[in-house]
Amino acid sequence: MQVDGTTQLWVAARVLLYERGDDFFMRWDKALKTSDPEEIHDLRVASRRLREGLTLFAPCYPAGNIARLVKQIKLVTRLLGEIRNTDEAILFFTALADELDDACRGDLDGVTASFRKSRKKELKRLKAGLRDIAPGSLRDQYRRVINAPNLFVNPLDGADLFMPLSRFAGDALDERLATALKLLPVAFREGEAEAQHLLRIAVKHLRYRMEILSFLIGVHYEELHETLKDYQDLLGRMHDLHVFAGIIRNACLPFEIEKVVLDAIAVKGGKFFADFSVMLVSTPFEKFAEHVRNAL
Amino acid sequence: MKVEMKGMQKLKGIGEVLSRRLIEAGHDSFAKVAAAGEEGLRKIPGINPRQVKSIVAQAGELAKEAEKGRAKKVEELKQKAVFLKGEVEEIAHSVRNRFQEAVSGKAGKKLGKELVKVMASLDKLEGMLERRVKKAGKGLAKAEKRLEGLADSGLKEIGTGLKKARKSLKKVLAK
Repeated sequence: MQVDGTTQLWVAARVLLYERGDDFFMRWDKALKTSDPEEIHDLRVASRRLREGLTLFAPCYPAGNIARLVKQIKLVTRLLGEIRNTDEAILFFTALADELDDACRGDLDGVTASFRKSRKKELKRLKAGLRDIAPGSLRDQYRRVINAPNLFVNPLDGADLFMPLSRFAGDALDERLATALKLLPVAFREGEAEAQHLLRIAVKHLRYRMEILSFLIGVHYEELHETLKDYQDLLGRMHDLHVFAGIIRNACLPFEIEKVVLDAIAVKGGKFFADFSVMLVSTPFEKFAEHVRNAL
Repeated sequence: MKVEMKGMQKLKGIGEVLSRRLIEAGHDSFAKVAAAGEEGLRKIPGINPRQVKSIVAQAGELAKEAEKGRAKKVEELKQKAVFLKGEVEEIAHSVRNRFQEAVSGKAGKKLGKELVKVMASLDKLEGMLERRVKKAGKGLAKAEKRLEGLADSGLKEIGTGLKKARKSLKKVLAK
């Protein structure tokens, strides 16, 4: 069914959540069949997008039903997270080993080898976990919930489900933009890793929300989405470095090797932060937020 | 079979007997006759070999026309489905405005489910219009009749009307 800005919220919510759900369960089947790292990553992203969709349209449904679904889907995201982190670590430390001298390479190869070993175990755990959750029953539960909106609830007690989607979408995107904008001043400082991490999460939520509502944004969507993706990628890489530094600190490497590796990571971190600062000047987030608001 | 036979008789050179033989041989549409080609048609007992070429050409033309007509019909039915969804939205809106108190509890939940079910049936039907043109046409026409004027009816009539409309659509969706 074609949804546009004039579609009533209760109709649009059902159609858009169906699309998200179909995508998620299709990727679930694929990931279970192939165990390919990319398929696993795609499923994880689909699960996050689905959760964002459920959060976005939560005002249309009984709160308990949505909360239960989100909790179940979060389990899937978490299950997939471990193996995804391992894949990222393997990629990063393999590349880093090539950049550093021979003395470090042997130790870093050891770190990578231990991740490769644990990946096999994690994959087994993941497959068993995904089967335990039983996609069939989750799919049924999902459909039951999204086919039962709180249609006639008093607008004073929740959202007016008869408002046009465009009005609801404007407020919904504003909410996510406001969260990101609030974090920006602190995240702008180099040492504020926690604020940068929170900003990354806020940007991620905003991106998924924008993707779900992309058809309302019009011709500027691609450009705006690209900007947001650049922010998310950079903030993601900055966050990953903190995780990788933690791994090295716990890897019991010889002191001098640990120092060389941590220094190399710190240099990368400095470069990423410089890129982030440039990005904030060249494509200011405040301007981006204004563009999104105007595009709707 | 009789309807198909009548259809086949639109081809010059095909009468009652040959139309039956064509259909029995599996060539039950103009498209299939055209696809069978001259060689395929020559296998039909009693067919005039001198007319085979013309029959294939006629069938090709008629198949094209039928395809065009079908595409037009599918488009019309799509429009009708969209229109009916609009009707359902209007009914829901009217219920909320006119019976706010009465539908705030269980009755509202039940009616809400029925409204969603009709919407879901229309969505499904939209997805299979190309395969079930005739059935869909009938189902949509019936559903339209059931939904007509419901926006101004009482709660009970609305519930019954929605159920009946869904049943009409269900018949199209059934395998």
